[in-house]
Amino acid sequence: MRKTIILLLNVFWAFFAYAQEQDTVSGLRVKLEEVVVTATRTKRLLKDIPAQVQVIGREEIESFPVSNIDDLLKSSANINVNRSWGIFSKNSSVTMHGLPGSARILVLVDGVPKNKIAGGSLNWHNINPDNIERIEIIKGPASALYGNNAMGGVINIITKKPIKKLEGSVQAFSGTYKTLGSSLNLSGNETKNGKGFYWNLNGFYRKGDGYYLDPPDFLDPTDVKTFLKEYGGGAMLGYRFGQSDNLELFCDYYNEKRGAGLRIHLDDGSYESTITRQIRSKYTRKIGGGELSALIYFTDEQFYGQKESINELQEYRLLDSYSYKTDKGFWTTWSQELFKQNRLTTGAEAKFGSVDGQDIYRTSTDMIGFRSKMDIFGFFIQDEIGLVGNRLKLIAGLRNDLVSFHDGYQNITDPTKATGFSKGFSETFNNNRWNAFSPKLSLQYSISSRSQVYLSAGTGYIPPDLKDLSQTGKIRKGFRLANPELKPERLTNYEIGFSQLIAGGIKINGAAYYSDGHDFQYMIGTSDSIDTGGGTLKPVLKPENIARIAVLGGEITGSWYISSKLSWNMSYSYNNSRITEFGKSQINPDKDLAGKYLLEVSPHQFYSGITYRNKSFSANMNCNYVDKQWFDDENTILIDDYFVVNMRLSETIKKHYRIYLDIQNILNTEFIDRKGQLSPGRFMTIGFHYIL
Amino acid sequence: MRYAKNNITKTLILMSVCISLVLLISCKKENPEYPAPTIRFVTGNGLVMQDTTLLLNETLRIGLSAHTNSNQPLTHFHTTLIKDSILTNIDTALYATSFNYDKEITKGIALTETRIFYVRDRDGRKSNEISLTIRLDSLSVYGSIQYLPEVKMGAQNNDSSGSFCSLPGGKVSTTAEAFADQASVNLLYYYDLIEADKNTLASPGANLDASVFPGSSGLINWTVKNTTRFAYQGNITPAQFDLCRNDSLIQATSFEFETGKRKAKTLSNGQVYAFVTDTGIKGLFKITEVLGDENGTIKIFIKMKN
Repeated sequence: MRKTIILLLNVFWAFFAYAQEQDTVSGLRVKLEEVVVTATRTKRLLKDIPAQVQVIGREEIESFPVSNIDDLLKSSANINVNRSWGIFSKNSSVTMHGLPGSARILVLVDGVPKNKIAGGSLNWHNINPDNIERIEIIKGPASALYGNNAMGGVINIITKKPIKKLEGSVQAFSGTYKTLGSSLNLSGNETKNGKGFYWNLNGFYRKGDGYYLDPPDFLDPTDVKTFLKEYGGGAMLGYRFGQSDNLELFCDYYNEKRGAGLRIHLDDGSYESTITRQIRSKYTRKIGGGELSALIYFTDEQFYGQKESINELQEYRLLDSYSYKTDKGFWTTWSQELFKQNRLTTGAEAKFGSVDGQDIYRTSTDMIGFRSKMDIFGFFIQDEIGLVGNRLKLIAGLRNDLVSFHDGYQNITDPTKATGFSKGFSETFNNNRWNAFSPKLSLQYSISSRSQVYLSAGTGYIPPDLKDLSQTGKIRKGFRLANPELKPERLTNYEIGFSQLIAGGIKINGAAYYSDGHDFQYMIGTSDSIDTGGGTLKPVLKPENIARIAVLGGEITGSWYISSKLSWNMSYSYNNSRITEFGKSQINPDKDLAGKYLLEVSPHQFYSGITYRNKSFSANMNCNYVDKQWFDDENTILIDDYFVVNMRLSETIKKHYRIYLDIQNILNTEFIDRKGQLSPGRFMTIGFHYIL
Repeated sequence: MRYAKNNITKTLILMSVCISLVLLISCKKENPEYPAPTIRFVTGNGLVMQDTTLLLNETLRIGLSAHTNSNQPLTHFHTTLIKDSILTNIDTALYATSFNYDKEITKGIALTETRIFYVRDRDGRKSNEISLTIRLDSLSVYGSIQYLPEVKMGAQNNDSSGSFCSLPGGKVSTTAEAFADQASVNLLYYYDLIEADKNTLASPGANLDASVFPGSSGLINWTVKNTTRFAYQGNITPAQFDLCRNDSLIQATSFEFETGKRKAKTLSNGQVYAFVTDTGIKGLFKITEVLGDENGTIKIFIKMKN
């Protein structure tokens, strides 16, 4: 009932505001003429791209209730954002296009991959929303251009570039659960006649006491509130040599510590902390009719996890986990118009990832060490051809990646029942190589300037991450064994879509697709189990490339630019994601998941949001419905569906002062995550901006 | 004014580069070098701290004292037990700045028993190792045993036979009777549907789901929970069990309490198990009959060291 009321309210507000506003429709024009760079690695108009593309611009970022950058993605069709503990979640699971797992989408920040070759979830916290200019979302596989991880789609987060001589803002905010934070963003542009320096300096800090992850009736003395403390900063220095010739250098630093809601003896209880550093440099230059882009980057991440627990027999356990991950690489792209309506884009990319980690059991003698490396060398070429007076556009792309896994090693020292190994051993893994060939072909036909249809067939691949290849250790489901024999997952996607502009400022676009995935990884239980000391046996699991999956899905997005001040967006997506074949496992031949639904995929998702914005005031109200999802691979337990409503009100006073109020989950909807732990419920933030 | 703005800008650029460089090259502060924890034998009050020789079944007491020498507590106490050439590691979790350990050792059948002890603190610093070796006196003779023929127990829903057994007497009790005399109960029998372990012998100190013995007398409400640990003896036949007239077989199959399992699962007719209670009773039992499910019964024959 409440859902219906909210939806009706949303619609009513739209119509009411429409009646009040009779301004010219300019927002839609701006949107259609928006330039997108991610889809083809060249600047293209949004309407000319034969794929489902969404751009979240600066104005939308400012008017949307957002605590973390991934909150913004909830407004996009066919993206499932699962941040179950709100800002207190260390990681957020962002999945796309009916595929499970954050690793199956590629996330870029100014072209630098956020996905770590070593694996692990993406950390969205270290992106300061104040420093984002726009987000480009390309749905569907894009490995033909981007290589690994671009299986479900690509999200490219593009940072702000200074325009004025001195600009920026300072922000302070306070929220539910004693959350406090501040941020600073200062930029300057010293260019004269197209030459000169420009720069940016930004930083942020946030802390919060958190909340109990278990319901009151289930709390015991070891339960404590989650907490968070994080800060980060970055600097950018750019030099423009000419109108289309510039060099930029970025440095970023991020430090976080997040509690897990459990404390036995130690002051901070169980928690995880991460320090991430990145340095990157980008060079772009126009030479003749061509454009050159080159980027080089180095990222490292130091992780520390302290995990204490007490089992049913009141036996204490303490585990320290350390890891050091690096990702470095470079890519270069050359784009040249060969002749009229024919643009060739080509480039090369190299990525080098490593992990070196150790799990030390402080209450027994066990130690597990692991390290490994992966190199990826890719070459891509893409041709965009305009035919029939440029009404018919053909984009053919091809990329080949050579992936090499090497220097894999694990070392088990003095094992006890905590790890279950009968004796200590060292193991050097065999080096392994794969070749990933990723073609894509898209065809778009412009029926008119208002109407486009497209067909595409694309491929995506994801190599196994270093964690699965080389890391043995405890996981939530049990105890995972490394599998150095894993190979890449591959997916082929066939899609048909359209974009239609209707009179009155309404734009509708949608797509239907079928994806066929091979060699998908699943954890297979060996016949062994580990006695963790509590009398509870945990299964020993090993990942295998064993499943063939199929996704039959579709999405539709509607945008109504009611006036220059008012817009309404809605989206709906449907996904039927299933395992179609389950191979015979070498370690457990009896396991068969054929016919089961994939996890982390909600069959039905709906979003509706309305935004009002004038010179000084903006308001956004939106709602999200996420259908039931399966909790386990065997499809025995369903996680409840949920519906949340969020809003932001923002008022700018005298151009320099802005106050805002965010209320996320207004209805205080209670839902649980896959660990059975509670969401934070209604979360309010009030903030103040001083704008230079 | 323009000059001032330019200066601000340049200063900010310089600051940003400097801050970035500092952040990128900043090194983690080194922790001060703390000494490792120490562990020693405690003397006095009849406690033994030097290698010695004992007769079979003769007992001695040892005492240990350990403490941290850093700002971190002790988290791990490790014992390596070498009985002749067979090595067993026992790990105990701690969280304390100091640790005292007191143990009575009964001389077993091994010719030499060596125990090596050490502790580690939170940061993994390992203490000195101390050890004690006990040799078997050549004049040793095997001891007598106590025999409990046919102890019959019923599973959790069996109304005619109790599920709980007290040692060494062998008295079988219902849930209500056992609740009233918790300190005497060492064994219990139930049929496990939750973990699919089927016919299981355990003890009140094992980790049983509360639904197995529900109600006001159920295990969840017990305040004293004795623990018995088990080790399956696949090499011992029922005939060998029957021939046992002294404690030689019990001595040979005896194990350190901490290394035994809390449950003897999926029991079937003809199996032999060794057991040790937390009060030090050591013995063997053989299964002669297992019938049914939650309403079923089990019959065991028990031989214990006197």
